[in-house]
Amino acid sequence: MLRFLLDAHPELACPPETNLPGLCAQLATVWSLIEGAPLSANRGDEPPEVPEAAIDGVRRTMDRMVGSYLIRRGKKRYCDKSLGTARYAELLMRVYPESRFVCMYRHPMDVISSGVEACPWGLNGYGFEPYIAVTPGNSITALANFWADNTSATLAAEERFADKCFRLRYEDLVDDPEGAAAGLFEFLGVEVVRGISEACFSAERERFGPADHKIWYTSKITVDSVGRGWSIPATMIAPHILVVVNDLAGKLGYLTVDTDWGTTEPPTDLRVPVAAPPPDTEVTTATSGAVREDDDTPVEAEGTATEPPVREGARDSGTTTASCGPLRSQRLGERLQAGLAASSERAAREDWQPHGNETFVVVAITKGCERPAEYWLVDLGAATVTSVGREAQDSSDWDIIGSAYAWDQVIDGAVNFSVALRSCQLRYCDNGDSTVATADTRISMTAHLLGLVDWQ
Amino acid sequence: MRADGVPARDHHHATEDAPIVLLSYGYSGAEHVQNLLATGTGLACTSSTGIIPLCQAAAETWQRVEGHAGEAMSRLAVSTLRGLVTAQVTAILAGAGESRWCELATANPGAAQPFLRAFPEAAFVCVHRNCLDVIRTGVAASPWGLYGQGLGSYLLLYPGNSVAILAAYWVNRTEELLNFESVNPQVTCRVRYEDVTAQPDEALAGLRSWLRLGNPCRNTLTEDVDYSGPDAEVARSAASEVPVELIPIPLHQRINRLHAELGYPPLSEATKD
Repeated sequence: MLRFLLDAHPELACPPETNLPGLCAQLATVWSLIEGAPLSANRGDEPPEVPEAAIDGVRRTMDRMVGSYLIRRGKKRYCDKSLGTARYAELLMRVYPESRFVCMYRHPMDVISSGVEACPWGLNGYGFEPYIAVTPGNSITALANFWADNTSATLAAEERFADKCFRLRYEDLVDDPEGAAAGLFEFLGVEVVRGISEACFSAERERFGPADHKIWYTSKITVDSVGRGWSIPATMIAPHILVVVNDLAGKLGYLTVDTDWGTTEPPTDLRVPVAAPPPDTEVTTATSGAVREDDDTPVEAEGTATEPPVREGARDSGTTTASCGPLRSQRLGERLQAGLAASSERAAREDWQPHGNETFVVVAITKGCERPAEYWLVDLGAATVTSVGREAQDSSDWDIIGSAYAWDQVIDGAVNFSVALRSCQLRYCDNGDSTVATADTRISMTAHLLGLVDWQ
Repeated sequence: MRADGVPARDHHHATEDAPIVLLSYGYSGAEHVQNLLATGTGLACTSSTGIIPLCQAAAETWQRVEGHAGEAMSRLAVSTLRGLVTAQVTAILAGAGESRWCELATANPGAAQPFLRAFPEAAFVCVHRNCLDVIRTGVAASPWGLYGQGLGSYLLLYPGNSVAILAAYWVNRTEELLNFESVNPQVTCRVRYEDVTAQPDEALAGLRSWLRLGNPCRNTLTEDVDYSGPDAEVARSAASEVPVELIPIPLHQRINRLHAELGYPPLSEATKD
């Protein structure tokens, strides 16, 4: 997406991933060898010192490649969007001292989600291989490690070349593509082009190299991909890597990942909210997503309250109310109610004990702007199912959470209940002190209430 | 032995209370087969209790204690093992209020050999499934990676390639299962998951007779079990989604050989749909 934005600018040319920075490093090694400079102790690593003559050699080679590309495209400036460029920042600055870096970040859990989606048959490509080799079979930890390594390298480049770097978070870009593009072009010293965030999808872009596999079938910039990482099982991330991930996420202004990740309705925003001004201070700056402390309602520059932004993942302020209209998950509630009525004797049966009198909350995430999640409190002892608010989770014995769509799929038999649980489309959550057998019994109870007999 | 669930002529009929062991592997759908088999009968079904591997471990200990080489077990070892397992099975039957034990074991089929020595009257049902379906099901069941699924060393063989990991697992386990069938033809019966889900009555009739389970009335089946099961056509089309090019050629060849033995199409044909 960033590449499309850059390439759509009349002065800039940004091809698919060329791995040009990596090539620079390889060339530098070769030139250094030719120049008789000392090589790295580890075979394959870049030399500790690249002599100026080698830098000249690399520059000449790059000029030929980049020059011919610019001529062919009729553009003035070359941009390169390759994976892992940050680790070559030092070298690139020597080859092209006027270089500018756009440091793109994204919330770690969304990156993990995107990586898993891109590699359904195993982590392959995109530079994932060395990471999955370290934690075979655990794609989540591998991708968390991948994110941490790349983010660390990018932050290090930012620190080293602060005045040459422009920080851009994916979430900022999709939230306000025009504003983000304007800031980016300003930083690059080129003319700001209005409407470029839409125009960038109108022309055919070059496809000769690797790129985001979804970009070719994307026609506009949306926030749809933000927050998908909410369904990622954070507990699969090795604790020592999670510490690093959270440290980096904090530096970038992202929500950190804790044990509650994915166990409640999704957050409004993966970015840490901007600190609110004191209540009596007039708001003078238009800040997207700024909130007032008193009512969580977004405000505009004039300080007038407006409707919440129509955006997926917006957080409801509290208990479900009748004014919000019909519930999206009404069928789920009815299924639970019917199942409970049919199983009224069952609660007393031995195979449900000692859980036959528990309460649990079934959460259906709707992503609606007024009511992003709906909550059904199932009281097995009282044999009731009630539409409640988020706070019911505070006192329930356990919960099962999933999107309203996932619940529909399970109820319709389109998705196996067990598969939905294993893939975290639905997620069982308790207070952490139960056994596997307890979880199995509770899940089995839910399956029976939903009429899913063959659930395993 | 035939590939349609009908026992071969030299099969011994199981006694009416003989333990039944379904031998299979992960993602084979054997649970569904077990459910169908048990419906309307007096079977107490369990899955991966660990009794089969326990027998193997106990047998190995006995061999070491007695200084026996090879797989031979003394009468004392056999009777002790039988006593140990009988006590456990009795507890299972009492808990379930049923009269006959049916275990689904996904352990290495070789581990079932000591159990067979202790319970020579036991009947073994070997449940097979098309390799591509196993791969597809395995990947779908573990979208976050195959760690923790009992695939152990297979993960190290092909890091980052879940298709090859599951293919290697299927190949090894299927070869072991076929070997168990071949060594113990009188007490084993082969069932294909696809046959059971497509035409359960026909696929299970011979098996039920051999196991002396009787035939449950259809009403019982439809009330308690999703009798249709995963649709065979759906499974076939789903298998075509698997990128077979990710399977290394040597594995590919072994899969085709095993597919031929089990009456499945070779990979190239399986993916044409």
